Amino acid sequence: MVQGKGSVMNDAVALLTREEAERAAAEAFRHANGTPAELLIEWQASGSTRFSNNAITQNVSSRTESVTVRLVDGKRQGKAETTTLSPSAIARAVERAKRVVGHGHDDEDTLPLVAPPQEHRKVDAFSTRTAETGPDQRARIVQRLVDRCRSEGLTGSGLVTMRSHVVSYANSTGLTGYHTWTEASASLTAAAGDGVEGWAEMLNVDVERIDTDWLMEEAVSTALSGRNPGQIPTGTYHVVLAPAAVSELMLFWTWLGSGAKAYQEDRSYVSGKLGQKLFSSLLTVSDDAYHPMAPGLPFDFEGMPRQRVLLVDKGVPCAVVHDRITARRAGVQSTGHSLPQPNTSGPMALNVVVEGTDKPLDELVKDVDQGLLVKRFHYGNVLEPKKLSLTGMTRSGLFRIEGGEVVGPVKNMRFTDDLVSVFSTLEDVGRAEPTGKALFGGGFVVPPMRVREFSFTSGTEF
Amino acid sequence: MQAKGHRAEEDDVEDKVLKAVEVAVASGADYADARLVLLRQDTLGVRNGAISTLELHEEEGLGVRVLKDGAWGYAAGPRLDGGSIARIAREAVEIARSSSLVMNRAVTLASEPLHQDRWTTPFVIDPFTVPLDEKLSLLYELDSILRSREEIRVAVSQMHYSRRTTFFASSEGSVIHQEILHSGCGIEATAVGEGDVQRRTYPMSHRGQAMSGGYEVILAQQLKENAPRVRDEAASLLTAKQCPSELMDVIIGPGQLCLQIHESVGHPNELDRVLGWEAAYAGTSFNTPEHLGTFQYGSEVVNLVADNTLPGGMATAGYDDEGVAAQRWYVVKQGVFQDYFTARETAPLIDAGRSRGCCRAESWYAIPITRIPNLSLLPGEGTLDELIADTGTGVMMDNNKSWSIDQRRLNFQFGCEIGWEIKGGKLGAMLKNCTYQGITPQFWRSCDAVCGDSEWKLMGLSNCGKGQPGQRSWMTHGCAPARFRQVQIGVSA
Repeated sequence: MVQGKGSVMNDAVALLTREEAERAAAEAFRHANGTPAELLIEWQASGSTRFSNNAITQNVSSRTESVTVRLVDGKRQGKAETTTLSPSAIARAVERAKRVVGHGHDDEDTLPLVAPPQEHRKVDAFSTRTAETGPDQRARIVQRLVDRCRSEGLTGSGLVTMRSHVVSYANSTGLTGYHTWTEASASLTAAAGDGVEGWAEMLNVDVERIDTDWLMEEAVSTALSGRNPGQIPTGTYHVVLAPAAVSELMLFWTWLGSGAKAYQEDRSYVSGKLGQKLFSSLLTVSDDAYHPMAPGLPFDFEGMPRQRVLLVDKGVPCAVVHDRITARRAGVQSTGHSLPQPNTSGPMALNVVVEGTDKPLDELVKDVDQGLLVKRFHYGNVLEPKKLSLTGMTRSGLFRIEGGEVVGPVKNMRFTDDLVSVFSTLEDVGRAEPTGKALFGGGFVVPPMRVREFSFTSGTEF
Repeated sequence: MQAKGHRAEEDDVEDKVLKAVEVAVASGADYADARLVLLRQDTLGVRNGAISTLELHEEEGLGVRVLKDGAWGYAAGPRLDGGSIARIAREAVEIARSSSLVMNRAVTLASEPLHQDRWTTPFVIDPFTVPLDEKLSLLYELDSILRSREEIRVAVSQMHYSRRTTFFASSEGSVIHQEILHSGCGIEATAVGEGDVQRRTYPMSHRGQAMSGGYEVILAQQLKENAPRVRDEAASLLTAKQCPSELMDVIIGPGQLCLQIHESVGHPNELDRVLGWEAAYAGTSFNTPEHLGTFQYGSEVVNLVADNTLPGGMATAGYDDEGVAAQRWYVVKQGVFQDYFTARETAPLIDAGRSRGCCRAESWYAIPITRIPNLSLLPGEGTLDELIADTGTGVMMDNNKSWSIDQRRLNFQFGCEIGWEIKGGKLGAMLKNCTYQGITPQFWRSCDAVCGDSEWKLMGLSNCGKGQPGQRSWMTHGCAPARFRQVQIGVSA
């Protein structure tokens, strides 16, 4: 461990080093007795301060070490996990994995471990400042946020989190990967009563780049302008979707439509339709682990280098991401998007970037004569996966637009719509920004969007 | 000798927990509790003829929770040597000091009798002793049955079982050792064709059925007997009629009703959520404290009971994660709201003398928070056939497919895997893409019949998410098919 200095709190920045990870891997391989083996370590030190009703309600610090051993013996494999890097725990995990290998059946999808050389690009995503931010500093951020809420007669709640991560991959062919990154995030929900609220969230590698002034302004102004919402009928509306709302839609798009497994099993909306124009020409989507606003892992969970993949080019779905299994079936190369093997979900995009422009959100609103501004969605879910049919609620601000201006709040509504239809009526996109919606520690970069037809099917009481 | 060795190991673990509490108090904590969790969990899955999941998971770690000057601190780590334990305990106290920088009130805990006890889940067959070959053979056999029709593109059969050993000690003097055994399993078949994708699961979606107990839970599900039906229904759904879009009387089966209970009665009545502590994430609740004892939550046939002593329940244990003994109480009685799910911190805030024992954590690394207990809709009368006959015209739906509810738990919309027309008092044509939508109290007030004991089933959920950082929890909802009048079904764009 690289020890921090001073008090017990500084111990939280003692990252798992590459050397420690390699020693653990060597220990695992020694116990494997020549059976091809891989060791995946996901190490995390996390500090989270949660607040509500303008006070801290939960304040936690934890350190976790997830250690996974996988043995691959011909067409059989076995896997075992433990949560500590002690030599005895690793030895036990290897023994359990051996038991599994001994009982499994042959599986054509069990592939030999990836051999070196593989070029893993360096992704600079670690901030010592973030790693060293402790509970006192988190409390000071919370203090600023709740002071502002109090001064406006609002109730503040949210979360301030600092995390340091290490992912280490090693296998017995000699391939290794080691990546560290930090996450600083702060969110604020400013409640104005009767279910009216404003919300904002900011994420960055570096805690110094969390702009609490912007955070407060966005959440507070939305809450204050959301009071006394009117009721409007359900139906199809011309809408402007703020980045947080777009991010929720893209989460489902990614989950259901970015990977090759669902595509190959004819379960995907894009099965048999790659190369066809399904969306507006304004929609261009890629998976990019090297994007400066949302850097991701430079290698996947098989040790393959992550590649940037263009998924939708000007409205035309043009690719899906692959792991080695789906790539072999398709006769192509892996794009480096494997999740830990074996895996039921198949490969998945984790760092989705939707191409934007330089237009601020206000520019998109100007071209709406009658419509709605949606700040955010809540609790979305899938109705029909093949059609990308979704439902969910609006939250944290739904506003009427008239004559190109936001004129007043309306009560929240439930949307039910198909993403293929929604993105086919995409009229404009604005400036892209990073958002927090992503799976497996990934990140999204998405712009606000203006969509001509978006269906709301029921309302609620606030 | 083996028993004696095991006891020595337990004594050693108990010493570590007591040591953590001792260090926390010596470091200035006014109250401290510590949980040391040892978890062993196997997850086995076969997908399309190959092993998709075969994970033998073990974990151990310690979490220390303290109150200092009325503010909370929590720290956790996986290393259990003396130095690490002391570091975790001291860190918890330092965090509590930071929490006190931004506080509204000092936390006070509802009193709880001291417990020095040991509690173990009753079981018949220890799943860890069943040969791996036997378990895998069952899964492969199920996979083969499910894939014996060409429409089935994805077949999954899986089982999971865990033993969670928790040593708890508090500075008040409680020392509790619990061993909780959970077992579960399920199958699913996904059919592709006609430009459509349809899925059926059994016994329920969301990782299948799960209960507290041993391998007997898995054997009791009769997976082999049900696999052909699941396969055939998935294939038939491809060409089934689309769910109509209109107001209809609806009978909801246990595979869906369990999630209706969970989302529209479970989460809205977690008192921490009601008090605004989840406002930044999943939201708050429409069911505010002035409703206690008076609010008409449902019709007179609606009786909902929370019960963490329920045999087979996923939340069943001797104690929760802050050492409060398991209890049984009415949440809704004859339609009227009676009580919330509480923890030691929240109970005094509604002038309750004692916590209901609902404070649980995913594991050692997570702070205990208020969780839904086992929560069941009590049975009414009659069989499902009698209810269908009495309904005349309507729709029956079962097994959850999608779920969504607003942040105050009012507007919900659910999708079900399968439905059937009810015509002339009998089940008719199969329906696909069934959805229904409603507002929570209005919906429960429209319930006019619940089937009786013979139709009542325990439905165990093992993946309930809550909190920031997110935590998973588990609970059971017992229910029988129930009828709801004039519900909006078939919502589409």
